[in-house]
Amino acid sequence: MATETRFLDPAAREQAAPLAVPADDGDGRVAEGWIPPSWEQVVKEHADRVYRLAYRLSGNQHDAEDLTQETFIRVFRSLASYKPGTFEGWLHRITTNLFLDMVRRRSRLRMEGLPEDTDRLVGGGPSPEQVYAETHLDPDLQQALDDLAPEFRAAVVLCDVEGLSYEEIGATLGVKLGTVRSRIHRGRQALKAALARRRALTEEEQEAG
Amino acid sequence: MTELRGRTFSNLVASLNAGQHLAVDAVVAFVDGELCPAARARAVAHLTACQSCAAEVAAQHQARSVVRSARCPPVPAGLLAALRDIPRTVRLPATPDGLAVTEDGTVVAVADPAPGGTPPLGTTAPLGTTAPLGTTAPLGTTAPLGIGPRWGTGPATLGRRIGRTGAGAVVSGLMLGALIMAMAENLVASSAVPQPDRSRMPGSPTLAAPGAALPGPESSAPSVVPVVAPVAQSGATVPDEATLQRMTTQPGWHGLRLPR
Repeated sequence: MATETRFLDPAAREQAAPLAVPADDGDGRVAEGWIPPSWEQVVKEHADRVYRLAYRLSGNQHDAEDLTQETFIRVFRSLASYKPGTFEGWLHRITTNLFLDMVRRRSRLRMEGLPEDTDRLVGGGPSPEQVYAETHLDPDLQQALDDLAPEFRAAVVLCDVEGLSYEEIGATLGVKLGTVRSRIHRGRQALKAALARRRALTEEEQEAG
Repeated sequence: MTELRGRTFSNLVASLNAGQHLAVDAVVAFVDGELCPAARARAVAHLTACQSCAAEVAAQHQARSVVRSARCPPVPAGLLAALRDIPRTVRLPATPDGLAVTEDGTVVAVADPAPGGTPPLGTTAPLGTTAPLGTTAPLGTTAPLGIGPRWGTGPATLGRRIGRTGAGAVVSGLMLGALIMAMAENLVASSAVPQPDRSRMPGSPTLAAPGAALPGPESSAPSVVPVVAPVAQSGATVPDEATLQRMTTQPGWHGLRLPR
């Protein structure tokens, strides 16, 4: 039970941050003699990963770009307090939390019904055909991911796109390990079911056509 | 089997009797290699004999590999350029004058800094401690960055917003000052200049009316009074009449609501 509750307290979560970092962090692990990377290096090294995570989480290019940019702005503002060895876990946490905040804010907006924001709400994104044309991603997979509840999607994406351990995912999302396991399990189940439905639908269409 | 949930990994797969199945936690942890060797060995032993659990594991594994093998989109060139430009387009201070970023990434304009924050306009303490200015609703409703203007528009947007906020505070301060002075003239024959000292404000109960018209829980007449003197006396931050006119009529201006 001790491992389960460790991340409940925000302060404890901060302390646990170094755990959430792969040991082969390219930025150097030794504090002494560590040279802070240039901004150019930071962007070059991490832009792909952050954008990929943002894209898989948000499901569209527009939000992925916004999330990526916001993540890097936060990183830039907090570079002074950055300590070597925490970078990747830090990026995952910022990106994922920005995404979850965005989703929550939009569901609030949707309930309040602000008309000027309707074109930016979830569901108003590009069509699967557009997504495919822009990114050559499997539209079925992205759509199946989009169908998952944000919390489940985040767990699956952190695990299967980013390759994070359960402990790292728990630290990133601020949830217990048991919650991580059940979210990934149920998320994958839903994903597989959604993919199967879409495949069946496509085959039907092909046979009909 | 659910009683296993929440225990450490090593306990996820207890020795199973005939007819029992792996817990979902154990299935998913097995697929992701998150079981300790002993638990893994027990799971493997069970899976060779249990088709139902083996199918569960296969299903999880399949969904996992679909996501893992998916191609990732490349970073758009425009975004990469914008990221590189961040040092030139983003202001470093955590809280630029009159601006703050909330936990959820929303940029809000603040006229009243949190304790320890930078006072707006660089004026003396009384202005910064004025409750009505800081608690004004219109400032807090600034559109979140994510759904506002695109990031590419960068510092110009932020800079304008800061300017407007600062100007808003100045204008509001002046107008409030004029209002209070006018009322004070009627009420206090001895002096037209409002005094911060509450005991010397016989008009306080009457002044509560305009104060209450301002949005914000802390609105009260006595706390409005100190605003006036520092802003008006500082001189340097007071814009001329034409500027004031322009600022108050600008469509994007989101200063304080004044009592009508």
